[in-house]
Amino acid sequence: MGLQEYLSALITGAGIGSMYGLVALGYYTTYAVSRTVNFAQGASLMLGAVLTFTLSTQWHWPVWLAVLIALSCCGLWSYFVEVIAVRPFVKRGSDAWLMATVALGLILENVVLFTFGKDPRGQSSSLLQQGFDLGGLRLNALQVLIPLAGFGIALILTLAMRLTATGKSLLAIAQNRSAARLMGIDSEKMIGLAFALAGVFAGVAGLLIAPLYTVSAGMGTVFGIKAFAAAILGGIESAAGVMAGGLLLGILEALLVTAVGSTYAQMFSFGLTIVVLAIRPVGIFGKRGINKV
Amino acid sequence: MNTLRSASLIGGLWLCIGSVAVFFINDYQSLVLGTVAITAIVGVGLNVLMGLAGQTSLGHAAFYSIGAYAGTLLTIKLGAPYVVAMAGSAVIAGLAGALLALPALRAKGPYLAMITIAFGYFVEQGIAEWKDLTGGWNGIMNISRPMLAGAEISGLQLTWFAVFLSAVLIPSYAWFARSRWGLIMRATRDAEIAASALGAKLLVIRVIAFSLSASLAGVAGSLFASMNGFISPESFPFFQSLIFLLMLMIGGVGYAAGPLLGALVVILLPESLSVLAEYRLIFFGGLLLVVLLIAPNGMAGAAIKVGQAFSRRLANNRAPLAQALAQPVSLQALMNDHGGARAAQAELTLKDLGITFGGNHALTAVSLSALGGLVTSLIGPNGAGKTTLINLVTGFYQATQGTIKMNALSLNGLSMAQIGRSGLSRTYQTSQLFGSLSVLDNVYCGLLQGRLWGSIPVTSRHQFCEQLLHFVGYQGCGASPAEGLAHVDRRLVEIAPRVTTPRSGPRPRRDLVYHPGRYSSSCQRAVILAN
Repeated sequence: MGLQEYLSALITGAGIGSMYGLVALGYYTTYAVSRTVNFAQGASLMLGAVLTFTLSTQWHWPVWLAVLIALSCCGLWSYFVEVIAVRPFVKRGSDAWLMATVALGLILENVVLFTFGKDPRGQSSSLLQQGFDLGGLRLNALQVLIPLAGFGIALILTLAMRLTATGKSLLAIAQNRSAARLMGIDSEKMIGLAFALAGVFAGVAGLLIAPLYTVSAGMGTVFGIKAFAAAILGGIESAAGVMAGGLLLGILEALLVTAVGSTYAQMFSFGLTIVVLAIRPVGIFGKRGINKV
Repeated sequence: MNTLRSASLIGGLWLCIGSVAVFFINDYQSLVLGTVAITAIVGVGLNVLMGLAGQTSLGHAAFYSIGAYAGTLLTIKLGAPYVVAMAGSAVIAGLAGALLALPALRAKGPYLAMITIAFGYFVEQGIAEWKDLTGGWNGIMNISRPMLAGAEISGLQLTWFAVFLSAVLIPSYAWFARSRWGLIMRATRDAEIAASALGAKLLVIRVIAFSLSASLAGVAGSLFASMNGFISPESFPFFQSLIFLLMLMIGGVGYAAGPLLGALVVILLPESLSVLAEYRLIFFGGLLLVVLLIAPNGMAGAAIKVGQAFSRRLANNRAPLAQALAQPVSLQALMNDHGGARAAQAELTLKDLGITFGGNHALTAVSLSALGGLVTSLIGPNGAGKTTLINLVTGFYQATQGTIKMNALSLNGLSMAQIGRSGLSRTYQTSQLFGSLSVLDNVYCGLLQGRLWGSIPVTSRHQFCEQLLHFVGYQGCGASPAEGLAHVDRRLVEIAPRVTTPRSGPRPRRDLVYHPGRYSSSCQRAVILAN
């Protein structure tokens, strides 16, 4: 395998990795604010891709409109997940939200399966056609757009959390929910907002990767799990950590696929996750909190 | 025991139904019945892991598939007889479970979930990749029926055997939950830190829980292979792990009959409502959601609640402890009654003890000496470091400087469990009780010191625990679960097992390291009496 292939794999890996990171940002947002994880986020990713495909390619609506509607639906869907599958259990202090979000993700995936059909569709994109050269390597516009979008959104999120009132409210709830409520911050609405945001992130990732993979009802599950692994690897309590985790996972996977084939690459990713968690149970960049009894 | 009796009844009923059914069903129905049975077997294992040890596994299909492949390959490649192959699959799957317990030890919540998910995928890909052994994605076909005494076992007989196994496992779970191992497991689930500080070795317990649950899944897997005649990595997707979890949650986590009820619903319902077959997955998702929202303790839990509402036995269970002793009892007399020896004089010495958190020097050069037989008080304003000191001495934190000695034994670097077993015990700012265990079991668990083996030289476990509770002044009911107690009672139940050690021999009597809290005066009286 020549250097060319590895370099190309590196770039593709960085792209996919930033998408893992983007979805992982969603996990981070919800976990930071409510200590829960939305396991239906993979379904949100799929929803973004499927809706964009249906509206723009099948029904020939203008792309910007399709994207807008698709992302709004993703946001609404994730808000719905929070209300039905997370809020009642958090109120009871139970852990069942994990399985409940899995259940909802399953339902959505199968509803889409019945309406959209079993066959994966190819999503063509003009971005794939536009290409340019970078130091002897042929890149297309999508390969550049993806990491840009991923990091851009991460940056905007971090800035918004630090600088806007809403963002600061989210951080406040994350750090001390009771105090935040006493200060007048409506924690329920904020948590719903966090979930909706996470859903939008996943939707963006979905429609960005759609031209690279195919669009199908099952495209979200494994991607969602890998993004979760990225979040955990990096440390789900830190935004930079999850992005770094995503990049790490994406690049490692791409390099391994080029070197030893896709099955070993998968085994390695999952095996690595276990090993890392065995050594650092809070993730690579996670902060080991000081326990008190 | 109530639960054991009802579990035996349910198991017996299931066995009867299965034994009768095999005479009337055709091949396909036999397969369905057999699938219910083996799903229930996996469920019992998962119940041990989730219900007793409190660890959620989203990758249990991995053990199921390991068992299936191990059993099949042992028969095909090594020509092992069926029983040996099944035992082999249990052992191999159990080893895999033990392996998973290691990284899972320190991970909690979503991190633990991720480890189990990753493990599931790792095994699935690994089996697919090991083409020479497993046939890769093509799987293994034409798996012949097992032979017993020269004759081939039919599908019906195999199904009956699976039903028999699952019927036996249901009361076995109830028995195990009440046994010493089960109690200690439940203690680590309810209050991990308190259990460790009392002497429970978390790693050993988790390894046992994972291995046991993996072994059962492995046995079920090998039965699955024989029943189906064909296995491939695609027979055990991630979704299968979800089905197992779903089954247990619908049936009721922690209840002996939970796996059976869950398996019946999860396997039979889609079969009987064939119109739903295509929408099976949506149905499952919806069902899970409904169950979680309305009946979080599953069908078994809901049934028990309904039963309790009708039963008047509730009143009897709430009887207070028998007031067998009229006058206050001395601790030494109590010990003598139950075979304890006179304790040697104990001394706890701290020299130049210090700990730093990051840049924060929480404690610097603390030296003190606490003698047995005396009450030593640590007094200081908020933030002085009193709790930190107690955490240091009992092993929750590791000191960055200085030494801790109890008599001649150095406690530096020892784990919480080791320190607990050496005789030092403590209470907590927020009392850490084993909420799902009864008050008596809480005391008993404390006395066990997390030891899975060995005997406790007490003449009658309940009597000793009752007397201890009476000694500290607890006047409530012994059988009520600890989580419902009022604050003072929580303190008393927390103190009771820490007052003494039932082991005889030249071991120093436990020093009490109390955390100051709001004590009632009767508690303080107990402290003074004890010392």
